[in-house]
Amino acid sequence: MSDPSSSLSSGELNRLAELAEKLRDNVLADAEVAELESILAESVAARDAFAALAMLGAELRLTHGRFACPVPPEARHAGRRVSLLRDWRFVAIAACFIVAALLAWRYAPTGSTAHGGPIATISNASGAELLADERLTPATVGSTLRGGALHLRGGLLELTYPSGVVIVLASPARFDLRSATLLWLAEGNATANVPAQAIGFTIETPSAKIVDLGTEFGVSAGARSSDVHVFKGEVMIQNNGEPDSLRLTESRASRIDTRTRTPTGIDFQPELFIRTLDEPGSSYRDLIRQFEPIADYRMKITPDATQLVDVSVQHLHGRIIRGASERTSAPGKIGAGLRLGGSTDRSYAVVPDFLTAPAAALTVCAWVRAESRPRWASIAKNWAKNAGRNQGGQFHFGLWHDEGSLEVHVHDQAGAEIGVRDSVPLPLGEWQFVAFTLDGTMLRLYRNGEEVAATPCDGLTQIAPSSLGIGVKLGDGLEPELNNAGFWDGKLDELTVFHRALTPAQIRSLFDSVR
Amino acid sequence: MQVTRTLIDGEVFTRLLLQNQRRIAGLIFSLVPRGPDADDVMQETCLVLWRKFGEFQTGTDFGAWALRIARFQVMSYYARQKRAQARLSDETIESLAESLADARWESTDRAEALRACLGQLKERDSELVRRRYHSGENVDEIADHVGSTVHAVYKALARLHVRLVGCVNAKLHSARP
Repeated sequence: MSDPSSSLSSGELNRLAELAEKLRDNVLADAEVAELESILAESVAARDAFAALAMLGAELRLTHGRFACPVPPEARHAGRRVSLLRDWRFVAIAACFIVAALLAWRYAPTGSTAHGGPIATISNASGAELLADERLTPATVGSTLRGGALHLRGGLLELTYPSGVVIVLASPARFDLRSATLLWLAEGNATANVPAQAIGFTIETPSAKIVDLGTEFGVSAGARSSDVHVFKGEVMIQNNGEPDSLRLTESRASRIDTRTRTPTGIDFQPELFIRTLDEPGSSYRDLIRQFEPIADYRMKITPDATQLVDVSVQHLHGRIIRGASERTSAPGKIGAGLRLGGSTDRSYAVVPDFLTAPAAALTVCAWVRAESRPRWASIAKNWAKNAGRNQGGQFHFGLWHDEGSLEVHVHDQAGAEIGVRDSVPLPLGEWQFVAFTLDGTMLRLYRNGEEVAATPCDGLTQIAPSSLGIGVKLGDGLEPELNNAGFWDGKLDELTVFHRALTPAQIRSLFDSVR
Repeated sequence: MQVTRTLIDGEVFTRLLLQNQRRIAGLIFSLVPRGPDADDVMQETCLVLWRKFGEFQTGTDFGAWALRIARFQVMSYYARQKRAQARLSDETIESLAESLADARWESTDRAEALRACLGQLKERDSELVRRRYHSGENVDEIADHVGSTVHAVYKALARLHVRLVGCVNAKLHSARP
């Protein structure tokens, strides 16, 4: 396309734009009308520029929703024969249908078909903040969604189509349910689980169309590129405007650049996507159950996104305090995990009525993934030492000061602080299985199934607060400690507490069950 | 005369209209004063297009056909105005409709490109866009709100529009392989 600005001077363009704007406001003086006529008559470039300005005006109007008309129910019953009479009511309804369609498609950059009926049902949700036309709309489980621009500002949303296709969207996401077989994803992360009868289901992004060939896949869409990861089966990626298609098979991933349309192979990273809002079973969890935990936080996704569920028989539930981030659920090591964003985000979880260990037998283990190592970053802490006063607490499990190595401190039965730490900083950007055990005589620290440090420890204090901080060190009450709360930056998953000391072999077996 | 159609016709029509709506809106909203008049002409044009859809020859250029009808609707609007109104000549309107009939304006990536360009605006320009297009303020109101003159606001809008057109064109151009 020729750029009008390349043929007219900046001054000429600005003057033309000013006259065009005044024409739209009906405030042109006669002399200015003549000037505009003259400019447009003399120059093809000026007419092109005027056309470009006209298109800009139309887009701006459409973008800001300056049309309004309800969708008539009559228009939704496709296939029914109707008579077009010289009946103004029908014509008005048809017009409404058309104009409403204009509204519905104002975010649609590619060719689409009109739709007005329910397309998919909200089958699950967690803390979902859903906006239609930038107005908050209920995201109630069981309600249906129609076509049109939708914005998932917060939380997670699971949609189920009548064909059995299940889509999981993670905020922030902008999307449009185009039809029973096509989802437009302008930006955000989505996964699709497509049963055999729905083969051909397509997710379209600004970069490409991803056509299912019987599979489960994830798409991360943005204006600049789209990433496609195939979990199972196979998909076909069709580049807009390109004849060549790419067939992407299981455990492969590709990035499609919006500008070049060229597929680029990238690492397969299924952990980037939440594939289900339900927590799956696993051999790891079977083992955990066998060892009889007193608290088992799987970081299960809940409808209101604020409940921390303990799946053990004790039901020591807690709550998730969301800081600045739009959601705290993210793909975990198994199922979902708790995503925390460090000291700037200030998200954490708290268990107000925690059961401290009645004797010197304790194990705490978790899968953790750190994005950075904030000072004294916390995994789980039952601790009450602040403002220089040692008030007890049974364990302080996290990263050591600024060095960032895995560490644990406990108070022995005499109240003395006993601690051990790993020799290297905790690796960033990868899941690590971390644990400590206390058997009455020894405190042992483990990482990825291996003991990394140990020290004698005589018993365990019974002077301890009743609360547990997860991803945080609590101060007085249930608030983060004022001086150094040690907010975790990264993800925590499968945090489990046992009132017994697991053996090295049991710790190893837990680690091995997930590898 | 009674014409019987199925809603399948309606779907075909709607699809064609959606593909060309921006060009039709571009012509009407650039020539008819903003406000209810422009909305009315747009709606009337949609109605006339639907009413005359039976005359449209499948396989020909729907956009060019629709823009011809839109042009006549604009002219008809001008003719209905009893008071004197600043307007362009029929010849100029026709030449603008012909310009917009060029297939290049069909690019459906335009909305995405514009959204990206809007996201790059400085706060002052974003406020101008919000007031003008979201709140629907006229230039007098904008001048009052921002403590400027009407003349200066027109200049600012013109510069902003030119910048946005350049940005959109650059993005569309760079998006091609």
